[in-house]
Order: sequence, then C-alpha cells, then structure tokens
Amino acid sequence: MQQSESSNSLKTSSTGVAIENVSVEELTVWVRRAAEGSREHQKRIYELLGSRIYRVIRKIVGPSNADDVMQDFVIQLFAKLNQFRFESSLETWAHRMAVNQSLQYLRKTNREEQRVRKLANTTVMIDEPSGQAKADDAEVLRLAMEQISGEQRALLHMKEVEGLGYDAIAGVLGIPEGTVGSRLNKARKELRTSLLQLGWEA
Amino acid sequence: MNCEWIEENLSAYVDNILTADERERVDSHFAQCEACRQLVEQYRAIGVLMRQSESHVDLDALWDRVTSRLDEQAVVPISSKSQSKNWVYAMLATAASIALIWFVARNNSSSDHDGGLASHEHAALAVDFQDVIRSAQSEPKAAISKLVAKYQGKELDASGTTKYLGYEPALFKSVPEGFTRVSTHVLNMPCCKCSASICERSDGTSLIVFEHKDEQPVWFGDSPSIETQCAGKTCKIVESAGQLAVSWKSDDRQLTLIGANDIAEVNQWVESMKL
Repeated sequence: MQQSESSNSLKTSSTGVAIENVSVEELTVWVRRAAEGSREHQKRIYELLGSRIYRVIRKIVGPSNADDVMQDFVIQLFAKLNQFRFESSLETWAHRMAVNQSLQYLRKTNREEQRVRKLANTTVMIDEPSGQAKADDAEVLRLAMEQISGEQRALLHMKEVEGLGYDAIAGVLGIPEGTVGSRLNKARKELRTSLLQLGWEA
Repeated sequence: MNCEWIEENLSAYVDNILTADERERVDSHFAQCEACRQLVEQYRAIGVLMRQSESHVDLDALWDRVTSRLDEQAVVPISSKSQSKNWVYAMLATAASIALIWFVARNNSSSDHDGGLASHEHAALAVDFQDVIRSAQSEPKAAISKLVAKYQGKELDASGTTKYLGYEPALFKSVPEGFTRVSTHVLNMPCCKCSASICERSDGTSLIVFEHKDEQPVWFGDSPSIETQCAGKTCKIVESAGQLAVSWKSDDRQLTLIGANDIAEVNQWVESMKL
C-alpha cells in the first residue's frame, strides 16, 4: 500500500491566517508569550487552531456539548502550553489533546450508554411505515453519527472533513497506523448502516 | 476476487492507498458486481455529505466566554478545594517574618503528549524540600547547606557559576534595589542544574532565589496556590508562615523566589529578573 498525500481545506482559521503561513520562529514566540499569559498571543493561537479544533470537538461530542468542551479545551491548552516542546507540530499536539478531551468527556457523561438507547429507538423507527417527510440530510447524518462511537466519529471526521492521511490520524488517536484502515472501514460500514436505517438515499 | 476481500479493503480503495495492482483488481471486480459498486458509491457519498454538513463556526462568541474564565482564574486560587478568595487578600497583607516556605521541585520530564499528572503523582515524582527547609526556618544559609549536601552542591563565585551552568544567571545581571547577593551555590538536581543564591535585604534578612534553565515548572505540591500577573509575567504563588514562595518563567529561565515578604517585593524581583 502506498500512502496518499493529505490535503486540508479547513486549515485556514477564521481570520484567514493559515498555520502554514506562520513561521516556526513566530509561532515559538506566540507559544511562549501565550504560556506566560499574554492574552493577545493566546488569542492568536486560538484563532489559528480554533476553527479546526472546534469542528472535531463538535463532531465527537455533538453540537449541544461542543461549546462547553471547547471552552474547557482552550483553558487546558493555555495551561499546558509551557509543556509543548515543538517535537510535533502545535496543531497535531493541540488536535490530539482536543480529541482525547472529547473522548474523555464522552466516557464521563456515559454518552455510549445513550448511544445504545438511541439505537434501540431507531430500530423502532424503521419498523414503522415510512410515511413521514424525509428529514434533511444533515440532520440524518447527525442522528446516524450518534449511533457510532466517539472514536469512529473522530476517525471519519479527520479523514473525510480534514482530509488527513492515515499516519496523521494514527498520531492523533495514538493507535498504530496499520489499524487506521480497518477501523475506518468499520466506521464507514456502521455509519452507512445507520444512515440507511434512517432513510438516507445516497 | 471475492466480495469479502473487496469489502475489507474498500476504505483503502476510497482513500486511494491501495497499490496500482490492487486497485486494478478492485476495479475489475466492480465491473461485474453491482453490490460492491453501490457500496463504494455510498462510502464516497458519506464523505461528500460530511463535508457539506459542516456548518459555520463562530469563534468570537466563544472567545469572550473563554476570556472571562481566564480572567476569573487569574484571581481565584487554582489548586485548592477549600480556599476562598479572602485568602488572597489575607496573603497580600501578610507582614514580614523570617520563615522559609517549603517547596517541591518537579523532577520528572513530561513529553508533549503527556498532559497533567494527578497530584499524588507529582508527590511521588517530586523532589521534596519540605523537611530540609522546615528544619531551618529562620536560617536560609542552613537550608542551602542541606540542599548542598543532598544535591552535590557547591558554592561558586559568579564566573564559576556561569561556567558550571553554561549560561549566566539572570540574577547576576542585576538584583533589585535594596538587595545584595551574598552567595551562590550550584545544585545538581534531578531535573537540571540549578543555582541557588541568597540575597540579603538592608535589614539583614534574606531570601533565596533559585534559577534553572530547564523548562520544568516548579511545583509547590498540594499547597494552595494562585496564579497571577506580576510585572507582566504569570506567577504561581503559595503562602506559608506569612511569606510567599513564587515561581515564574522569564524568557528561557524558570525562577523561584523563596521567602518574599509581600507582593510588592515579588513584583520588584520579577521586573528585575527580565533578561
């Protein structure tokens, strides 16, 4: 197998500054000053990473919990910036922290339990005659996403939305690169099943 | 090529990481298998759906909430379960006394992906100065002697210290008005090489300044602490027996002051230690 190059269309932050356009020297200063508590530099880092991080958090914990988890994440990020050693890219490091924090949040709130309950409801739903108007695709996706695990949502998001390569995904999730393919395969398969059960037509 | 093999490798196919040969085999299977062809179309459609469903992110509103929490953090004790805000004011009003504060220096190294450790882990990994310093509460020199014995320390002059550490301590460039550097010892601590200088006030009382270059933050154990801005730097402060222990980062240095009388003195030192 050969590794494909990953492209990323969502790396541009809300202010239009892409992380690639910030030099390592500049970023080093930002990180140091932000770690020291400089609000201005904290904001720059927030704007640089925020949009991408928020999306992955939202995907994992769901839209209604995303704001809370994001806030906790940002506070945590600034508190830990003094531990960042530039061994990996700031983005990867922050991304990993965000994904871990989101998955931890799910475990804490027993989202998985709810997932099972929702799955049960869905089964009832599809037994009913499909007389209702077809829900909007985005809503169907949201519901289907709730039925797969947090890690599967993270995997799919990183691959499909962020366009990351298997190596980068493995790095964020802390799993061997060789297992990314099979886990993605399983995630796609389960999401497809959920989508079809909810009436999705590709 | 059977459907089972195709199904197992469909993700790899969609993600374009199969070899040319494998890819070709999948393609020729599609030509004769409607079910697998449909499956791959659906996988691709899922990707499209996911990208199309991404809604806008409003970062500005969230930033306001984050900053208000950061502002709160700057004045509220951060590591205590039972502290009240009053403690801060009490601490700031504390009068001088010659008791030394214990502190714990963290000696483990943490990597980028390792986040915070639980407090019991800190305790297990930390170098504990508590006993050393408590036994010499009114005498910084005796406290230094104990540290010297524990960490193969020695007293050096300014140039000897600079040579030993490989850099010139910020303290050597200037000490705040009203203080005189009396002596400097170097300590070979588990985290790093560190200098410990005794500085005397004009009234003969003194405090100790630790300086090291390693990025390890200094930990004050489970002692209640606050984080606040002093002369533009984020300082972690603990109070004990009426005095303050303060740690802050200044450029590439981690500085720790033990035995400050009040917050004005802390400000004076933080300002003076800027390289």
